[in-house]
Amino acid sequence: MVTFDLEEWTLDNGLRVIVQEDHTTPVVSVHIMYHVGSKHERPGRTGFAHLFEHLMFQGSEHVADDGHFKLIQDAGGTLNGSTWFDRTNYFETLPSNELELGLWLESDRLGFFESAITQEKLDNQRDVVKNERRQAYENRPYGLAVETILRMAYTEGHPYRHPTIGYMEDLDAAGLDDVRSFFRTFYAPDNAVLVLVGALDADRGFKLADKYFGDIPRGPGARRVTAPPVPAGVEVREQIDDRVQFPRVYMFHHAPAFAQPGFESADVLSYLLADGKSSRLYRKLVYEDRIAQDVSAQVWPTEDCGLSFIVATARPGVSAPALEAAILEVLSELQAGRLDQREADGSVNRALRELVNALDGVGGRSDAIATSATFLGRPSYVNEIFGRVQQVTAETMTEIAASWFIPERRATLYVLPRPGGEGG
Amino acid sequence: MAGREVIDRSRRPGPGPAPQIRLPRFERFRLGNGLKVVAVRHGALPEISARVVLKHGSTTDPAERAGTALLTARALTEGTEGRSAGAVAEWLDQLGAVFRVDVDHDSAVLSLDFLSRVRDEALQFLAEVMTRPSFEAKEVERLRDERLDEIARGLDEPRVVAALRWNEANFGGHPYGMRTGGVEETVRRIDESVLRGFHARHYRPASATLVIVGDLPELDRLKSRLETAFAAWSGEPTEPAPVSEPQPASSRRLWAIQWPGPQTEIRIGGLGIARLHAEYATVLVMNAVLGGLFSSRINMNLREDKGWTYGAASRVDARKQRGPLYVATAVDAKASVDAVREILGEMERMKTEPPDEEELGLAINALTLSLPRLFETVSQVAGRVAHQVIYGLPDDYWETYAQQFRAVSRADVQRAAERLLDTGSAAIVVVGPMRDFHAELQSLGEVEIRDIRGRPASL
Repeated sequence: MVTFDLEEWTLDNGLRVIVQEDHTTPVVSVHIMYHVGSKHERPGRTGFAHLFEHLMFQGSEHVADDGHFKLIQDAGGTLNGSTWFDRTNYFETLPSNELELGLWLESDRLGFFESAITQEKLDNQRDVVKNERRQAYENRPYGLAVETILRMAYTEGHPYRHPTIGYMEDLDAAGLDDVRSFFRTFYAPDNAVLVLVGALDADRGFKLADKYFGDIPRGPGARRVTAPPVPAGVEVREQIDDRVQFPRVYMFHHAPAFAQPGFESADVLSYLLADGKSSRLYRKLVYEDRIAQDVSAQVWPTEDCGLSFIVATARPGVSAPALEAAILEVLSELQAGRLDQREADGSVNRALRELVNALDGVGGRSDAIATSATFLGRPSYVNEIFGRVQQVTAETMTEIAASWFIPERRATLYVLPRPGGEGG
Repeated sequence: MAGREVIDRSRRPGPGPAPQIRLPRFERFRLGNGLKVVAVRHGALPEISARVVLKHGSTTDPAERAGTALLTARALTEGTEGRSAGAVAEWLDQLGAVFRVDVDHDSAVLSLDFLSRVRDEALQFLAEVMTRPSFEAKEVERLRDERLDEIARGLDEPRVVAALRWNEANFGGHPYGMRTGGVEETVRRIDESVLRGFHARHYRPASATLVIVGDLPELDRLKSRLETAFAAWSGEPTEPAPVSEPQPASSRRLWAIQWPGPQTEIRIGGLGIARLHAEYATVLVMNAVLGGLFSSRINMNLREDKGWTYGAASRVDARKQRGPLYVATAVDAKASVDAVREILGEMERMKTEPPDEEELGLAINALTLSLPRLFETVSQVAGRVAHQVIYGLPDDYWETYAQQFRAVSRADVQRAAERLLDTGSAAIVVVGPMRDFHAELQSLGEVEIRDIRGRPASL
């Protein structure tokens, strides 16, 4: 259906470089992904990988403290970074004639970071991140549900048990020594992949990557952390209250990890469940029974062991148990195999459309290539996804529903209105 | 690799020769029934983004029935003359297409994104829901209830409360002060006959433009497909009454809303400019210096210097008439009053300290050198063409765009700031743990305590 030509080269210091030429639009995406995420954090230092990501935008030996954003935006580009359980990435989309600017900036903060870091910058970005936590989680309705359910679903010490944003007290505890040792351990060319997508010549891309990154030494060998699969057990249940008017049900299931057998089936199943008004959960909960305001289903692309969420918000007067019962009824229908191929085909079509959409821009495409390279060591997986999604059938989805979406692999959380009424 | 180039890391590598920007090449034509079509062949992937653009947004809502434009758009896919709501949903989902409605004050845009392998059927779908919706009473009632739930749920979010209340404080009774989907009392008055009437008046081929972008067939084939799909659509639209110009306030309004959270949501601003105003480019440049970019003054101050917030930005929303120009942020509750003071200070500083050459250069470069990546994906291109249609911008608008921005001077920016950033008549809305800092806030003006719905209240 769609195939991207990928070219790959590994520098002497172990940095993998992947180029996909696309001359449709005169832009280029520079994307570097480090194989370190929140799962690598030590106890008492949750949120550190993400806090560290912020510090990477505070200048390096040859780049002024406020230079990173300024130079990219002055060139007409856009940029960001993000932290996930398993990886951290930094990326910019630039006009194609500014490729070297992106490489210079990325290589400087990999090769010449430590001399620029100060206590003042750490304290400032710690405050920024604490405000990010307040804004995106604490002061947002249902904002603490996901971190609660991760704590329920994984046992003490499991690498996926805490959220990437981290806990306030751990953010407070982070010091400059943590910054230095984290940098030395994980930020090395042999623990990264550099992806260039867009209007560039592949050979020139490799040559420039070597020019800017080639003299940065290898790291000491990053500690590998693998989140172990969670054996089927008993369902975990909890409820919390929040400053909200309507109950919400979060149903977590363990699931296949990114690209592992069954991952695409689980992903397409989430479309079948809750993408579109004819999807099973939407039709029953929102349209027919009119007990929910909304419902969503998603599978998260994690490296080691997978996870999925079904989330539904109650309409006025509807209880959380009523919502939960309706979700379970839909799941049991699927487990019993009441699913025809036509409905399966529709959900495959929706997943394909979303996939094409996500890969349309050079930024989304470089992200998908970098993820494939980092998690699987196989960037070309990005080209296999289309075929794998098209092979999903009613049977493979029934199999996923029957083997994964069961009480033994489930955590259920109710978020309920706090007694005392609106506005606190 | 052998023969590595010697590298001077001490300065930024210079750019290569500027690339040729690939702007969309329009094909314009009209169908027999008067429907205007703008077709743009774009991209390398097998996908298409189609948008029906109607110049009838929420300011066209019938009196006391705010929310009509939004609910009419949402009801299109809730049943047609030939199919039930369930059957329409199944049809769309089987195609794998995604249908979205975007209604703002000035326009309603109905989008359909799909893979090109289902092109002909997707166009049939679009034509059927646009031209023959059934507006059955029970489906409209359900949509109305869903909208009422949505309105209620917004009150759980301090950022939503702040945005809604600021619009009211800023625009008062002007139509721009009413949110685009209406409020509880206006939505309750909407039934199927209201939607039928709105559809009959405004959803007419002569008032619509179809923008279609992506992996398109050759022109004759596209034309004949569209003629077939939209053949039954006819009738003349009613011209909506023009929106009056919002009037600037004469004094500062300061609304304080109690919300017991760890942060305070702040909105501060006033009237900006109309989209077709001659100084549009100047005002965008001014906004980029003040708060439109990460490296703008307000974010560098509140985030990168003080650490009070995850981000602070200013926005200018240019509409048919003067839209809002405002600063928005969420700050650590302990810094609430200081943050309001700093924002007012930065607005004033735009008048006393015009941008230096570096700031001006950054603002103009960010707005102009970004053009290549603003026309990358099919949905980006479709969105920008739709914007041109809504505001009647010429086809060559983007060809002359950079030139207009490059002409903006420091003095132009200062003059715009003097005209638009009047902190003495600004609307200020603060949503946070008011009991903790209410007294201190009074040093900034007369504080009106409001509840989350905007009604006068006490602490």
